[in-house]
Amino acid sequence: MTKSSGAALVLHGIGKRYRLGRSGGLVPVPLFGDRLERLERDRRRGVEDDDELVEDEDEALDETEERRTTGPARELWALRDVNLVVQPGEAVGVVGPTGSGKSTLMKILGRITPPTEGMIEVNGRVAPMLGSLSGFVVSEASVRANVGILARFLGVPHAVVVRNLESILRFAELEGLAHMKVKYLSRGMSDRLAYAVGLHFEPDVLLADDRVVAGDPPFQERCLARIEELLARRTALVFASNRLRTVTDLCTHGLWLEGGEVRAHGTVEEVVDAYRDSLRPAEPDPEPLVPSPGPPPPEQGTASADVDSAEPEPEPEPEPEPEPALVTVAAARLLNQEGGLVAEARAGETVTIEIELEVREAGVILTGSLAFAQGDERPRFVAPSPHAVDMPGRHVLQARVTLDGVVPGDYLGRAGVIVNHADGRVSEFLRPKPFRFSVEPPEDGGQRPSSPTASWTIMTPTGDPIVPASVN
Amino acid sequence: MSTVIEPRRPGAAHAAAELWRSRRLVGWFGKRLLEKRYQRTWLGWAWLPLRPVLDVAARAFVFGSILSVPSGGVPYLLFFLIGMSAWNLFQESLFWSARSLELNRGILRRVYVPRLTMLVGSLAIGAIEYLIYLVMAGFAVSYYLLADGTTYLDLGTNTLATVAGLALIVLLAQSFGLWLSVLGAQARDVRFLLRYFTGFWFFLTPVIYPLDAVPENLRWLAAINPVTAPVEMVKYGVLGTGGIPTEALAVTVGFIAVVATAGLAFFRRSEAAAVDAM
Repeated sequence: MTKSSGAALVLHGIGKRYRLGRSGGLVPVPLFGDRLERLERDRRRGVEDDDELVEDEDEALDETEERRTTGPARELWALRDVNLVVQPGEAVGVVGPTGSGKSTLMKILGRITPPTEGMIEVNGRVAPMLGSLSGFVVSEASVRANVGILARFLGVPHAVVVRNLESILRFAELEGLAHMKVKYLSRGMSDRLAYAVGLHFEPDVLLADDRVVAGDPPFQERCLARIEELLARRTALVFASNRLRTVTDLCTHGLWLEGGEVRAHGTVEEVVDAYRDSLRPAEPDPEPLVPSPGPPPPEQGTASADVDSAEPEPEPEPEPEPEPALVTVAAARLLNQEGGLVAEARAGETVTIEIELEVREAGVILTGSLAFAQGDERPRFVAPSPHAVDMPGRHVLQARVTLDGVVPGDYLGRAGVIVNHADGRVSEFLRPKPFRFSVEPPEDGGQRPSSPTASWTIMTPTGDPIVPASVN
Repeated sequence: MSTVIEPRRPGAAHAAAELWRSRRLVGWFGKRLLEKRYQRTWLGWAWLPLRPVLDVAARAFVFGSILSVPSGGVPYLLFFLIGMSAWNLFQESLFWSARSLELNRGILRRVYVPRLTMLVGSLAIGAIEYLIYLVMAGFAVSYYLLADGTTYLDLGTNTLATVAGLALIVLLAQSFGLWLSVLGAQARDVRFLLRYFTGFWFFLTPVIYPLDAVPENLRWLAAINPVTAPVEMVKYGVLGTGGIPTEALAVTVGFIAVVATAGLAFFRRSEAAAVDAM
């Protein structure tokens, strides 16, 4: 697809007015009890930011939801005078408290609802909101058929879908299951399918909200890696979320909405920092939010005590986002078999990729992941594996990768670490700076057709390796 | 390809082009509607032929055998089947068009699809049931061929009138559908009223009786009914009874022109409000 040099997205004075609480009719139906009415009203208000994961396929014909409200009519400007230019390859993180107009903006960009005023120029194709496709997976249809169904919502011609079927299924890790009905798959697998389709075709503008990733940690990492790849290929991203860390990781620019109006617009760091500051109580916090990768806390006991004392940072209303980082990442580097830092490797050779981590709190699960790509190619992924970490301090995550079947050339390697709380909650996604390396042809000249293989270990501060945790 | 998103929706020509580009979605929405209608039933797809069969059996018995309604020399069952095939196409298309947006609100709230695809897709139920009526008529014809030695059919160039009549019915239903889909997404009242209204309308249309059975002083009522002409045309084209009522045909065409033009403007203006209200 050729992309013109112009901006991907230009918003001119966008505003959206909702009329709320229009009368429920001549004879309002919820005759009994204010409670029901209140519930209705609350739900109507919640429409602004609702995170719908409801499956519509299961709706019966007659289960029409009541969304009307009673009471006096009222107007609400959910969005007012929003101006924004997004260049191809730029990623704009839209932040702001609940009800600030983030979702409305996304709905307008997704053409679900038109603006009341203003105008938007879109240069190219806008993909539906990432995550919205999950609701369209038809459980009675096969995986293969679902790829076609989902692609229809993207406006992708059928022939293109057929051509890309293999790589979509590969991304979703559902290769052997093309003919399986989706109802026999797990929810996570069906999400993977939806995200694989949603991320496969290169849109000119990609929209995402909190559901920017799905599935298990390795798949989440792959989604993020793919989004970065799309950005590198000049897709523009608008990402409305309160996952501030992911916003800073993915985005170049930030847009802070408050009460439907733009509070700040600038680089993502500026905007997110300002937004974070606004969430924090007036008194400055003595503890730095992100600990510098300094010396590890002396003892386990005091370490957790430290965290505890830092913890009761009064959480400013809606989002519990700005938590102190549990883990910080220093760097990723490529080592040869002898442990020396290298910038090139031979195909077929075994190398080690090291990721240095500073763990602040024990009881986390770290999942390393690794992807490398040559130029504009789709990245190759190395199977990740989770490790349970039970002590704080400096850890080194190592992947021993055998570069089988790797085409010689210059590569960009991206390592990532997903930090999960022991209870499975995803808390952070860390990515050290990408590293460059080149791959030489193998010594014997021939290419083995296999794929790269990897084994992961993690070295604890005491120098003991931990083998991968068994995952359920 | 570049798009402009504005408060005002793009024009009718643009909507038509968009509909054509998304034609694959039309079939999909049709299929989805059919599946939704028959899912969670014990008999499943068996309902598809069963509903028309039960409908016809009961009504043909009441009108043909008990009330002995005249049918212009053709066995009443066949006469009724042909008329009913046309009316049912109209009624089902009308009814499901009123629900086309409402039933897809989960999609409407999440992604952009040209909304006309849902309206056109809602024709699926009427179209499928029409085919079932054709099959039933086929059985009836074979029965009469064996029993009476004649098919009672009069096929020829006049059959073009049937095709034209069906086309008019579809156009008429879709014209009303432009209004009903948007209104039906906003309030269920539309659906309730429509059920009663079509029930009454059915008796006003020459389906169970031939047009010439209408008393002279009430002919005007049949003439201003936009469904009269297409139904008569469908019957004339297959059975050779009656003819093409020109005045009524003019009314039909006029109705389509006015209702569709205004409806398209209304649809474009109000579809977004309907989605907001869902």
